[in-house]
Amino acid sequence: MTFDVADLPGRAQELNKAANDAASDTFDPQIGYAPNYVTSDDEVLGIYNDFLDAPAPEDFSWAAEGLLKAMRKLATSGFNANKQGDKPDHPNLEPGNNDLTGVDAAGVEVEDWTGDAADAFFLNYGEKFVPTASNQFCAYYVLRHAVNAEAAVWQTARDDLDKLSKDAIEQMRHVADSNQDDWTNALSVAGAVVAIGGAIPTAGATLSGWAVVGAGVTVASTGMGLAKKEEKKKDPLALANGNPQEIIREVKRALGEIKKEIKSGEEEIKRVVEDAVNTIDGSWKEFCLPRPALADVPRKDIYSPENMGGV
Amino acid sequence: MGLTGTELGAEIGNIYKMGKEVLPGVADDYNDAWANTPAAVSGSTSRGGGLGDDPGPKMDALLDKLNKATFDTEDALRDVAQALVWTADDYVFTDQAAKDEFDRKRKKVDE
Amino acid sequence: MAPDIDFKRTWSETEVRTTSPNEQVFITLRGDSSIDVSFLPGYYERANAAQIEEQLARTARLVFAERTKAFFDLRSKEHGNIVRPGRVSVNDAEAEYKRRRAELAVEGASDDGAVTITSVGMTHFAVHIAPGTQNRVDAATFAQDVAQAGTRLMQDQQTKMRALKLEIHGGWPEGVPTA
Repeated sequence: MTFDVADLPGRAQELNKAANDAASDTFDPQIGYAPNYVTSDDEVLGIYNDFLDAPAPEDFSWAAEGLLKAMRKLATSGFNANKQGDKPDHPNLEPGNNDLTGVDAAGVEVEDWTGDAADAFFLNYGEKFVPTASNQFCAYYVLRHAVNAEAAVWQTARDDLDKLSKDAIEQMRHVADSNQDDWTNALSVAGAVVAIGGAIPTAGATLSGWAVVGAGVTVASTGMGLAKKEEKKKDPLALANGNPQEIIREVKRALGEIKKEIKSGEEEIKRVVEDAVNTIDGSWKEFCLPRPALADVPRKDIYSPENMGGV
Repeated sequence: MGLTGTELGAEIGNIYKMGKEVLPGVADDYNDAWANTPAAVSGSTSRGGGLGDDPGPKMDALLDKLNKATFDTEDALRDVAQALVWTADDYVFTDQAAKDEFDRKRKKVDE
Repeated sequence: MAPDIDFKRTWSETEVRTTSPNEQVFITLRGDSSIDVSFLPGYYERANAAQIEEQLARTARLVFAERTKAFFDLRSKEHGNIVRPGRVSVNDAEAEYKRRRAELAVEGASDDGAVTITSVGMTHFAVHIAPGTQNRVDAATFAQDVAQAGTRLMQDQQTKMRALKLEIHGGWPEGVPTA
């Protein structure tokens, strides 16, 4: 059964029960409860509340898949459709769309076809069509990776919450053990640091902004360990467990770390997407060719001099 | 020196093919791209608990541009395609060999 | 997570078997509560007291190590993931706790005084056999004496560990209150 944030309230309940058991196990009628063994039911039961409405990683696959389908139509050459998490030595190769080159080929040989509209079509449209499609492809590429990175952020958060909430219960169940059995909980707080792949396939694309956008850092693999820019694993987060109150404090501390990782991952995703938007805004014409005059010429005017030239 | 005879007919036939077949094919591709492009992803990114920094709105802004570019490109392609078909159909041939070649090519495209 | 293991009950029923280095002495621990001791026939009669003391001391150390492993294996089963004793102290209180634990002196003796087992930090063990015991006490009785001393030592350890835990982690600013 795969863990989901909906499981967290149940885990909080188990944690609370274990905390209450520990308090009553150590209760001494002559001295009362050990102060650090007294926990607040409300506090413990609600400990995971901030995460109950978190997106699920699978919430993004529809969007990523749609973007990939669009990309297939706009690829001016073959590309690797791998997303983060896929094995780099098993590229998922998609072919380019050869249809796109067809736009650059009509009527070049017809000497008489020399009117303004004709020239404009050749020079400003036909020839520029493929590079423009390339720019569009790059934008899709960036967005698809950003969407996958977003899914990865929530995947790693969910993995961390799963481990933390389970570990907390285990610690709490044995917090009052009087044997030499304590242990330090090493929670590895993973996070997603966003990368837009190694390189955006920019062949043919003319917007220099893509190089900036593409110089991101890599989306971490899911699971334990924060993969930083240098692909180093983060040190596990060691949590103390001397008494129930300490365990609760430490769980909150770990939750704080998880929140930080979510935030920093998403900030990077936002930055990358924003850079893409700015790149496009700065050069809209290279992203979407202006309508060629030919598109708006009424039939009767096709062969007027300003359109197709003399015959 | 301009094209004459069958070469001219072939080239006008080429324009016809572009307008009737090639550009509409690319327009269809752009329609596919547009149709598969989400209108928004912020519905999926929204969350409670003050968590993180929601990139949904920014992603939606980028999607707007992708949607517009693909939609407008498809639109322009279809209109240019139409213009090219008219160009070919309305070309006044003075050269019978050219006209025959054009008719032959046009017939092939129309099949 | 493997739910609903009644850990306490399951542990109390878990048997841990240990054999002495010279393979003459057999110890069975049941949880942290009961111990059985037996010897290969003739060992107790043949060996001298010093030899028996040394074997028992080395075996005690083994027993505790195997008990710890079995305990953590059960913890792992309960948790669904590997659980092992922590090595790193996260804060000063934990470091203090580990230091005091490593220095904790515990003891257990048989009612008839024949056998006393002591330990410091559950890593150094010593066994003392009262002089003349081998003449006074037969092998079966001696085995029971060893078991009783071991049981008493475990009880002493549990009591002192609980007190240590509450002292360091209980949260009374002025120390654990006396009744």
